[in-house]
Amino acid sequence: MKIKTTRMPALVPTILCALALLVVAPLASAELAPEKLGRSLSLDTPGRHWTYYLDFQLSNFGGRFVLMDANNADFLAHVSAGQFPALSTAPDGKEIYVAETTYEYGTSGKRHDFVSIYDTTGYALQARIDLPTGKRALMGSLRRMTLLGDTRFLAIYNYTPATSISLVDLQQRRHVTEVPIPGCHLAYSTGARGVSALCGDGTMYTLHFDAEGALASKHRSEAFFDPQSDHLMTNAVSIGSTWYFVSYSGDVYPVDLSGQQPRFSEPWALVDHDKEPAWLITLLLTMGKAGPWLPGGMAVAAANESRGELYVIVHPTVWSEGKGDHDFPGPEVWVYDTQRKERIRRLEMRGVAMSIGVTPGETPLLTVFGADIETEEQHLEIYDAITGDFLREMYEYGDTALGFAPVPVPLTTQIEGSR
Amino acid sequence: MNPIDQLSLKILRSLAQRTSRRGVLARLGTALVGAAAVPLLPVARASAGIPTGKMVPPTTTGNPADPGNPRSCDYWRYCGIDGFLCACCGGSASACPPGTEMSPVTWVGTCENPADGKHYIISYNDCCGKHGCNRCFCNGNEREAPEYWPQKNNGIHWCLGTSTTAYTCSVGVVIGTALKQDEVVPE
Repeated sequence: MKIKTTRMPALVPTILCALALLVVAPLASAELAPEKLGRSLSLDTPGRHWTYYLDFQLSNFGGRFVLMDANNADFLAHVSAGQFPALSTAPDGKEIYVAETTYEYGTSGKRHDFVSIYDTTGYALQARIDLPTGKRALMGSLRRMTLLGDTRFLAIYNYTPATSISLVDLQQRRHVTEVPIPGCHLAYSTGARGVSALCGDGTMYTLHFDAEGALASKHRSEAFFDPQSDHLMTNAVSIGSTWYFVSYSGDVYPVDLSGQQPRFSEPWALVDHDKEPAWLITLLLTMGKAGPWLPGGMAVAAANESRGELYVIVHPTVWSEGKGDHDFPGPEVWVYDTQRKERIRRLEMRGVAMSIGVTPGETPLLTVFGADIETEEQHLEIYDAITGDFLREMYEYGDTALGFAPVPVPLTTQIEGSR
Repeated sequence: MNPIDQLSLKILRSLAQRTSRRGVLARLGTALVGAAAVPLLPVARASAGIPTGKMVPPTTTGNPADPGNPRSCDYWRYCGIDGFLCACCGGSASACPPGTEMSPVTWVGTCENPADGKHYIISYNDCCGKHGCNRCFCNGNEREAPEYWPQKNNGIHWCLGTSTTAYTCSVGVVIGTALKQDEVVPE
């Protein structure tokens, strides 16, 4: 009996192994079919959390735009770009436009300024449109190019340091005209076929073009902010045709650019201006988070159109000493209801956020280019924009992720239920 | 910043510097303000680590009236600099590395010289024509203004008027002493 009881269980694994071999053996012996050489993948319907980011590389001040899926932190595609590139996406998501500058021999030789057009299926170059040589603005702002309401036209901001707007006809694939915008800077789409620029005296300068791209009108607004007392950060974001400019001191200036001329609304406060500085002990215990707070960051704000929400990176004033450092990163992202003009959520970062983006739809994700406070290591992180939960991180994303441009997804083609 | 803020910050910093604990508290006093070196434009280095120049051997000007280490972001005249320090790249605090060309167009700032307590006007010029030096990256943003005040903006690529816009590094050239606020004659 003793033998029997010990031998029987010993047989069981043997039998299982034999059965397993029977199952595996036919699979192991099947040969792989030869694969086709020379294939490249292409992309299909965009996911609702697809977003481009600018991987800006210091060694050549150029970079690339990477398309990532924030839903799984996957790398989907990328396009190379020359010095200080700028990106616009067609509203139907079918094409992207990249303005870039290159030199014939790397860092020397003839300079080329141009717009490259890519389709968003195969990411193949569709066309290249030459711009006036040596004029395109080379700087960090994310608002150096904008697609106009009539998406046949693209406006590009020039800085030599004389400033102007170059208009490109995407249909005819050509540069149409260049219009000076003296004392004014950057490019914000306005109305059906216009563009506005932000001026050093607190005004806006607006150009409108006719159906063929010829200059139809130009207009300088009254001053809507006082740069002597409070500056506006230029990386504004829009909900519909209203642009939101965050100020150094923590106000937001809404500007309606739907018509012929800008319409300015009263600024409202993003932070508590009356907040008294905390007692030292509180300051120490909370690491300054007792407030007061200030906005700061590179892409300091993001907007979700479906929910009418504005997202802003903030940091304790004591961290930046209130010295007007508008690039200073923040440990929280505050979310505002733009209708009610009030803060509705506070999202805590794992470290500090330097640039943020938010994906479209009712269940958005927050993409964050941030850094660990202790190690200063940089991370591309993805948070749930509603709960603030950290979800995942994209590893090996490149050198940087300076600005985010979510892929516009027509509602009818959105992939539902992906998260 | 009001006086209470200033006092709190001073005490906070001195406390933070005395503690050996790593973490936010310690960094608040020393490096978090230096986290301004993390964000930027132009930008920080990625996972490879930011080239902060901390391990780069120091140098001096040899002039007691111009104290400090020109290879450090803390050197007094770099209070508004944004970019790689040319002093780490074959140049000096005020001269470009060999084979590069100084941009004639620039942004200016004022920095206090600790040797004489005077504020000097500093011209921040970019040196252009080769790859980014990728050493000693500094990002001083104090009192920096947006692009619509270009003369006070350091995010603009200042390799303008040079034969190429390839950016190599930045220098801070003393161009004079600044008037105090109460000495400024109204226009």
